[in-house]
Amino acid sequence: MLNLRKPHLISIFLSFVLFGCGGGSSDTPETTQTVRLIAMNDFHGNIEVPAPTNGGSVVVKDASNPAGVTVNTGGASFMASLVKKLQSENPNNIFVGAGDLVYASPVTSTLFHQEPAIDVLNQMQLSLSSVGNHEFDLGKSELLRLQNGGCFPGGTIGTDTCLNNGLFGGAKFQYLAANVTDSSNKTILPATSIKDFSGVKVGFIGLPLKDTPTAVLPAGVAGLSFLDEATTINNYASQLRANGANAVVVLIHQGGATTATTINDKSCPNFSGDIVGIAKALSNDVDVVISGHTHQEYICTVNGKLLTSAGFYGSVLTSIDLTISNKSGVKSAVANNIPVINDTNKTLPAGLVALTKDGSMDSIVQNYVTKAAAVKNLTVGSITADIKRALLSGGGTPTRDETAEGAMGGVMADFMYAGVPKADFAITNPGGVRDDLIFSKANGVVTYGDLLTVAPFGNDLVTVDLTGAQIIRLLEQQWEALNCAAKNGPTTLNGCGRMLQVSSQLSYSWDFNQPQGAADGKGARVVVSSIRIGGVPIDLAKTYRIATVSFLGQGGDNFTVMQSGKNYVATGYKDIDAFVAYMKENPKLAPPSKRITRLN
Amino acid sequence: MLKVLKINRLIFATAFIFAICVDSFVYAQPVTVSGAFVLPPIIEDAKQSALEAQLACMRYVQMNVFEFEECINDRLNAKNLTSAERLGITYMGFVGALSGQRMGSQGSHRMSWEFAKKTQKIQKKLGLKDSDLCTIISGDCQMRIARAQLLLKQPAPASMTESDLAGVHKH
Repeated sequence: MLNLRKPHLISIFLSFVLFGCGGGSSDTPETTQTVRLIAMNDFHGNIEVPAPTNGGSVVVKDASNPAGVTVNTGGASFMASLVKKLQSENPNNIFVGAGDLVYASPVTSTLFHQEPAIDVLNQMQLSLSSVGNHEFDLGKSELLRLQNGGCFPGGTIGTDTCLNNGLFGGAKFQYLAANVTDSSNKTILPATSIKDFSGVKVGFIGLPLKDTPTAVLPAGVAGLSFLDEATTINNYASQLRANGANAVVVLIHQGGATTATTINDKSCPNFSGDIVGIAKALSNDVDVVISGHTHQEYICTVNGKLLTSAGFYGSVLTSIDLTISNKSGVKSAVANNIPVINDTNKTLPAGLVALTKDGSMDSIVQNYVTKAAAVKNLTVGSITADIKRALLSGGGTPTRDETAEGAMGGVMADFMYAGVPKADFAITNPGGVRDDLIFSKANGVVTYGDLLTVAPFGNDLVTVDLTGAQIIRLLEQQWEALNCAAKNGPTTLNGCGRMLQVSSQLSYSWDFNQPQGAADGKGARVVVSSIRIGGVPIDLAKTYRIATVSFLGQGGDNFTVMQSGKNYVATGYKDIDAFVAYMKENPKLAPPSKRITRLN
Repeated sequence: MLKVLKINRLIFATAFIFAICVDSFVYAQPVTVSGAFVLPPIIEDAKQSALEAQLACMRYVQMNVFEFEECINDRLNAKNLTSAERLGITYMGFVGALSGQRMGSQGSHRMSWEFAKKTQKIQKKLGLKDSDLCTIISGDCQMRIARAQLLLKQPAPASMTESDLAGVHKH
């Protein structure tokens, strides 16, 4: 059990502020029910256990540890157990979501066009969810396929789509999109839903943020309008009340952030973000707002409304108990964010126990994991000759030479450039190039699995803006002290350092006679006059947009200049997806020419 | 309904002021003038710059802390910052990173370590105690102090390596 702060105070307070918002007619007897809302958001198809360093852990309070304790969380098999437990405690329950349940997902969901994520959420009896911005990643028609079912256009039935008896039935839960209209001014999905819980009615409104078009590719939202959130909610809340709803709950893919240090901190310190303005503009018809998008967790009260969010990747569930009268509406609301504690923890604080895997859910997840392995054999392209990394020769298995440019690294940078609109060039770190494509392996045929061995990390593609001067510093960091210490090649070759693999739009020379291993900021090996970007000499004052992987974009491998860049943008695309697209668009791919010249 | 709303606002405002007063009393040990709490000027300035940094930067805390870190560093690069203002921004960086860490956000451990170090440096220069920082940003300050002490005992987190990402997605 978590150490809850001031639960009684919160409950009493909410009893006060929520009292008197009810509907109901005067000639029916009063009925009061406690309805449990189980809420989640930003699942992003994480059916497997996420990494603790990427959404798969939370910090909880621990009476014996003033700094709190980090607990590993997440995984659909564990989440299913928690959902069942919460459902078993109150038959008047509903499981709801606040968007971004799919896309920007790990490969097991990506490979099958998000069908595993939908299947898993169906099995957990998710009932309603707002759409999020990511639901529009592949456009309205694909969103409607996920809702209504059908095989992925262009997919192979039984291989990468419609995996279960050649069918995909779509979401059994209802997506809501109250503020998304088409050219006929009709919502593309239902705006609201009313559920009856033993005599009390709860109305739900679901919607994404109005700024969705700025968060997805234009093609994904062409022809659609995204209306103001608060205005839309107030209109539908009024209608729901008129239709007999005793309580109104908003599921919205927009959120905020607190400065809390542990989860379930109900003091809600320093709550800020776009959701605050929306919540303040809501009418008294609205009782509860379940939010998402910011990947934060919080339980707050704004404008008299309970406002919650449950983090991301299925790491936390929010349990909300609403006591509702059919005469006077919501009488009290008690909410808790509960971690989905999985079985990877070596120890747990007193009072916390790991969930046991739900057996049936685990079978479903493992089935997709197994099928994902089969998809790796799909043909995605072809090559005319070996495309290799720079390799160190010698006995045994050749290992990659991170101090040198390799053809495989050039291809990787090329697909990153091709996969990101409006970049000037692309770079990737040599350590991220994990394998070679060998012609003789299958007479030049390249499979999905081959690409996964080359690029196994599932990195996001990002863009970062650097000036010409910063680009020179970035290139110098290849041979400065930290990277020289990290990678020592033979002095007969390039010596030490990490050589960034670059796309064809960037070329330059460097001087081997200049000292290697200079202190940070002191390197001088790049021949500045030789640098060409798009065939034009580099302009030191100009800002260039660089495509890369999130690892390097965030300054990994000691390329800290990337951290001083501007306009870091996560594109929402995975490197593997861009790689597959590039190979399909470039059949019979030949090893690329070199872009980097060593002098002396 | 309007009456209910006014009562609600009164209750909320009273609870809010009470919470601030309790935090201030416990953590800041402020001087009192004519019965009102008054923060030392250094803390007041730090609090203001932290608030401005929060309003500008917390919106970027999503999935990872890198954009948040960029925003905080941009503010730290502004010219003519006083030490108090620098303290407020740096402390906001630390608190924001801890906030990300509570959800396992990418990069949050490294950032919290770095900003704990930076905060400590300015704090020492200004001769402030850990508890003096508490009123700069509200929240669970005892937990923050404990986490800062824990982080400051640890070596610098390594620059991200491939292995940091190897377990992110299962193939």
